[in-house]
Amino acid sequence: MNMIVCVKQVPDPEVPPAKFRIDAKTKQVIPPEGIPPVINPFDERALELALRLKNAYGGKITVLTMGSAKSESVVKRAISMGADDGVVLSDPSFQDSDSFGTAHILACAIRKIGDFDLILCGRQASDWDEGVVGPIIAENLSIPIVTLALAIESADKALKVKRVTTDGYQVFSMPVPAMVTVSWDVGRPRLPSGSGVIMAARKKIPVWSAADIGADAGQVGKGAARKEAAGLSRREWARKCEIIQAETPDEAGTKLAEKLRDVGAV
Amino acid sequence: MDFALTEEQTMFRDMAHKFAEQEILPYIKDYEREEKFLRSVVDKARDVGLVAPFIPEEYGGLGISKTTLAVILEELCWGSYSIAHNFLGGPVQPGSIVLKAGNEEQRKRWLPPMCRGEIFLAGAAVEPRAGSDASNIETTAVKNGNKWVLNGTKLFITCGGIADVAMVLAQTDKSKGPRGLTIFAVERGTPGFTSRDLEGKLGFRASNLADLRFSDCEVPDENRVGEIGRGLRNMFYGIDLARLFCVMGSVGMSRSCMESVIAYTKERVQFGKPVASFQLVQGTIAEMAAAIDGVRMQGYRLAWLMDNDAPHTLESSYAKYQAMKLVNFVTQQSIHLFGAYGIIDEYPVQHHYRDALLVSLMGGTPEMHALMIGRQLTEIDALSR
Repeated sequence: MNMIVCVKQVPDPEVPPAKFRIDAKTKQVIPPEGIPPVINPFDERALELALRLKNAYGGKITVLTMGSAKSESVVKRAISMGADDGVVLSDPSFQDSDSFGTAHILACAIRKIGDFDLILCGRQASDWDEGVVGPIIAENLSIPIVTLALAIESADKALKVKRVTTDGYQVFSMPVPAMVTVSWDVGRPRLPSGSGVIMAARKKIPVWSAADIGADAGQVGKGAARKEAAGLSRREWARKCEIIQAETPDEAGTKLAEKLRDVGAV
Repeated sequence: MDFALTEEQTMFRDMAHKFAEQEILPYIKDYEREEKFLRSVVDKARDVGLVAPFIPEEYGGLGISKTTLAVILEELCWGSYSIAHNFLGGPVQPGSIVLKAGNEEQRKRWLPPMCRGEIFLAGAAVEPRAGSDASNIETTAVKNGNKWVLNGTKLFITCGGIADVAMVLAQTDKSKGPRGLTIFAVERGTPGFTSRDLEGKLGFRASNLADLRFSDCEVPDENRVGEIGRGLRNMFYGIDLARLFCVMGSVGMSRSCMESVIAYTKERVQFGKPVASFQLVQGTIAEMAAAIDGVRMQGYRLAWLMDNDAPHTLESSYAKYQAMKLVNFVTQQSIHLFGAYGIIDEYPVQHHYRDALLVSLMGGTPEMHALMIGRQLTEIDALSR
């Protein structure tokens, strides 16, 4: 099964929010200096599912990312985990593309690759949490999509996709080629291997420009964005301590449970 | 001169750090408390190729440089020295002996299964009356036809209780003193070879240390590793790389302690402000940071010299000597700065403190290295008889 996994480079989500700055003028979140960006943890789970499928059915995994030349580190990270190839999509015209522009760029690159059975994306990106690029790519390519996948089986040019819902699972079947966005519940991604690291470090990652993939200049960049951020603010957290008063431990426990329920903590 | 890590080294560093975070730290407390050997971590290390990455590819390793190994060692020991030692100690010490002193048949026989995590090797030199002074070794190997008969006891052998093959330093000609020693590979199951696990350890609790006993234990001549009488020199092939392990491991342990101290002292409020804001505390943290950086550079230089087959006896002793001062200072100060919290195992400073005490003794005590440095610089051997 030939797969394409779309990955995004994001500010390290393990860095405490207080360390980030917000540029009110440009509506940008500025990460702290010296903390290198990482592969979007949701996309890492999409890659993990792709690697499981490769183990089960064979095939090839190609990783796509959009960004600057520095973004090759996320492609190399994916290769060190077991992906076969990767491409960075970079062009000055791609700067400030919104989700539609990004999906257009990725779809153009996917068309250029051509030979694929399945595209996998994380359910969302940890920086903007929109979760729409995968579905828009599917729309652009006119292929079926299932979101929030937990597991995939393949048989006779069709996929059986197990999808997570809030209270259970759904199973869909669909023909290939197809798009799947992957649930967080797929589990912890594997670590890179030593041999993968050596292979990735030595690999030259190609960079494709807008001209290379035939991207439509009218659909990418800030000018083509269909929406823009109007405001950006940090959620303020306040610590508050409340002592539960009660005559007996049982009563205190009951009151505490009721309080937790009332504030939505359970 | 280039101080930057290569892309490959950076990726190995990140991978080893993640391994320590995911596969060592969550389990260390239980295994330290129960004094259990963490076999599952060895299997996971094997799966990602961290068991013997410096062994050449033709023998099952990845063929990475000693400099890259140094980078990896810092990160793994940031998690736990003793657990990293469980899967890398064997390849580093006895594995290096087989690689450099063994013949081709021996390399192909033991190194690939070692790299696959299928067998453990142990290096066995220390005895009741012989530690730093190897000339006192009393384990004997007497030739009998095409076999050697070993008798004697080895003490405090890392992974000795689980080792499938022990590289045993034995006396083959007492009249020649240190030049009358030879290494023999004794395989588990050989009649007369027994081991006894050591329990109640202060440090290395998540590791295996054992005493080995050889009683009329017959090994074929094909298990002799290296030339007769070259045993001590061959043993140093392993000790050489083991010292790099001690140096970079000390850097990793010290960095972990310092990071914990910084986080804790920024949270701990006394006299209305974080403890980290007191100048004496900042002074200690600065001393830790500067010393860590210095020993790391010494470790990198030592690894670079090894990679370039350049002489490094003096640099090895410099680095080991400073590393022992570093790790004992940082771990002790960390316990102190944590106050009473430092003596419970909720924080990593406790297990690093205990492991540091043993790391000081491995690969030569600080005193031995001071004497080796002194001998090189003054050309007077303080230990000559």
